[in-house]
Formats: sequence, structure tokens, C-alpha cells
Amino acid sequence: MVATQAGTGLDTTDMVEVTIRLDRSQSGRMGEIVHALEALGLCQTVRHDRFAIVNGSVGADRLDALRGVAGVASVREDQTYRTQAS
Amino acid sequence: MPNDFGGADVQYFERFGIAIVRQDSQRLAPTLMKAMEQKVVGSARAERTYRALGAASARADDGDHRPTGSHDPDEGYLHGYRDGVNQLIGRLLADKVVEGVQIAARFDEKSVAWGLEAIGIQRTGLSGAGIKVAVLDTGFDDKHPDFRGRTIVLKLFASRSSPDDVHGHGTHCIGTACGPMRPTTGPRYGVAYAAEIYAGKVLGDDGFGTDRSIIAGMDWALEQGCQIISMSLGAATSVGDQPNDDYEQIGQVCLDGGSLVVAAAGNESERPTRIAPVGSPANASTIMAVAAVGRNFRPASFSCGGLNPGQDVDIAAPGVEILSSLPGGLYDRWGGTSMATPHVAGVAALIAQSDPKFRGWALWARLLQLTRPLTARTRDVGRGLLQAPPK
Repeated sequence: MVATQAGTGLDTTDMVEVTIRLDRSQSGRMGEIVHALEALGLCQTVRHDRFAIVNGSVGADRLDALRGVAGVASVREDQTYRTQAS
Repeated sequence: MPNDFGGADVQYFERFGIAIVRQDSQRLAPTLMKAMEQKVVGSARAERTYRALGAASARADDGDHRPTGSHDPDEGYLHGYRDGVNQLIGRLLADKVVEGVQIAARFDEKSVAWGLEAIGIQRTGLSGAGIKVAVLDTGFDDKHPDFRGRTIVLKLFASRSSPDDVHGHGTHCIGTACGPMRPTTGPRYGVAYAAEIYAGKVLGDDGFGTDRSIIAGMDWALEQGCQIISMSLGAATSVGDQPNDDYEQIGQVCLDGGSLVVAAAGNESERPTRIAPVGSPANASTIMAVAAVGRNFRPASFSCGGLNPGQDVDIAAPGVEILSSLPGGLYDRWGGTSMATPHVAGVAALIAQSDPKFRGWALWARLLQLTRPLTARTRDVGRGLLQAPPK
């Protein structure tokens, strides 16, 4: 069974977690920028205003659309980190 | 360093970041001014004259056979200067090798774990009291008997994980950074024994986590006013990779906010066959990258090196056979740059306690200033071996 993300019509199986970095000069527009990102399908959004960073989930085919939002410096898929004990 | 001072006679000492320039002061001035404007030169001063001690025997030993009839004062001065520098370099290098052997031989761990002795913990009276240390890891067993009565704040960020430290890695790292002065069993293994502990669980029960939880943990730690954020975690990088700009920015915000972030350099090396580059996020220039050394003060076989330009190892700390706490009131010896990193976090807490001016970049600089040089390459150990501040 394929779940659907409410309000977006996207299959959650296609969702990827992303880290979005804003231009720090644009951090005063954080709310406006996040609103634009969410309109393009970003969900489960977490804002880190002091870092000018937004985390969220989005359809894998929407990454370039998010990159086109004014004030966005970069969008990348989240990476996995692990403990560094040998 | 500049390679030319307007054609002057220049002698470089790259190890010390010093150049001796012989040139008419009026001709040299404009060149120096320009170099200082470009921040190539930090400072310049006229040379002082020093009296050589024992220079005659040193000169005889090094095969200097210049004519004894020479009375040129400049020539004599230069030979004396050269001999003095050569003697100094020889003594420094020789002392380091001998010292390393002696210290390695006397780690008996009767009262303190070898890593703590190596960083000079017994020289300091500092405890980390009043300093908040965030350890972003797999959680913490706050029921461990060694941590009774301590100020501990727990926060869960990892998704699909229990709030407990099922893995054990977090409890081990917190033990090294903030373990007690007198544990219930065995030698002392913790550095900042009175620091306040902020344990953010950003890695899951399996020891893995993603940017979402890590960045949330860093934001929380900064919000809580933690002066040090310790992250014994990382992702491998390849030669040619660029640092992650997200962590460049986050690290800068933390430093500006008075919080130093230290992170494990990574364990992907297989020395001597293969050296892997510093992992992410430690490769960000605003996050202090920590390498691991063993009891012989040589880089641990697994410890990553600064192969990519600008993505350097900043400092080295003990990271082999490190004794520390584990969940359930237990202890064990673990190794990794994960284990080196909380040594640095703990010492950073001691320094931060010693003077409130040591925050952010100032704390970073003080940590490096206190290091002891090692014979290993800067690529592998950065500025040198972590040292606790004297008091």
C-alpha cells in the first residue's frame, strides 16, 4: 500500500529528507521563504532560524523546484552519520 | 610565507612561521607594509642581539672551519645565530622523542586512565564547574552510579529510537568528557568532572543518524547556552570533496554565539596502507576536527588525515583503548576518533571555566595554544596533542 502525503498528492515512498540552507542575508525572510517551500511540497518542516537552515521532507522530483525559491542558497538530500568508534 | 622581500637576503623558518630578512630598513619598509596589509606578515621587528652561550664548542662540533682570522662582526653574528637556531631545533626534536617514550612507559592507570595522564589532567585544579557541555550522540544512561548528583539534561532528537542509550556510545563519550573525579570502580576516566551534562540523542539505537536530528541537536545545545558541543560522529568523505556549506554556516553561528563545536575526524584510515580524508562535519573550517593517537603518541591506524585542502585535522587526543563508562553501571575500553573528541570537549570545559573570555573562537585558539607538539605530521595530528590548562 502506498501512503499519500496530505495536501500534496505525493507518494510518501518518493519522499526524501532534505536540508535547505538560506542566504544568511535573507534570514529575516525565513517565514516567507518557508511558506514558498511548503507551497512546493516541503513538509515535516523544522526551522532553525539562527542557523538559517530548514529541514524537511519533499518529493524526490521537487528538489530543483525548491532550489529556485528566492533566498535559498542550497538544497541537498540528508546524509547519514554514524558513531566513530572503531 | 612570501618568497621574496624585494630581493633581500631571507632565511625562512617555516616551522615557526618566521623569516629573518637582511635589508636596509628604508628599502624594506614598503615591502613589509604591503605584506602586512595583505596579512601575509603578522608582525615585524628589528632584530635584537643575543650573546651566544657555548657557541665555540657547538661550532667546533658542526664542522665549521671558517678562517680564525676573520673578524667581520656581521659574519660572526650570523654564524652565532645559525648555531643557536640549529641547537634549539635539535633540542626540541630530541626532547619530544625522548619524552614520548618515557611517558608511554609509565602509564600504569592506577589512579587515572592513560588518556587523562597524557593530556596532563593531574596538573590542573579545574573541574568544568559552571560550564555546560553538550554531547550529541546515542543518548546517556543517567542512572550510572558514577553520575549521581550531577546536573544532567536529556533530550531525544533521533526518530524511531528509544530515549535510552541502547547503543552505549553516548555514555562512553560523556564519561570521557564529564566523568567523575572518583568513580565507583577503577581509575579516573573523566575530564570535566563538575561540568553540566547536556545529552542530546541525535543518533538512533543503531548508532546512525541524519542531518535533521543532528542540526536540531546543535540548535538545542546553542539555545541551552552550552559552551561546548561535542559530536563523536561523522560521514566519510573522498579526496576532492568540498566541506558541507551547511555545517560551515552552523559552526560559524555557534562560534559567534560562544559555543565551540568539536567533532571526530573519522575512522576510515587503514594506516600505513591508506589514509582517508577528514569526514563530515569535522571537515568544516568552523568545526574543530579531532584525530586520535595511541599511547605512543602516534596517529591511530584508523584516524583520518587532512588530505583535502582546508579540511585539516586541528588537534589530536587519546583515542585508543580508552576506558570509560557504559550503560548499566559498566565500563569498557573503546577506541576511535569518537573517543578522542570528548577528551577535547572536556579540556575545553576546563579552559572555559578558567576565564569567561575563553568562548567560541577564543576557546578554539586557547586549545591550540596549549597543545604539545608531536613528531607526527600536521596532516595527521594538527597542532599537536591536547593538553589540560595548568592552574
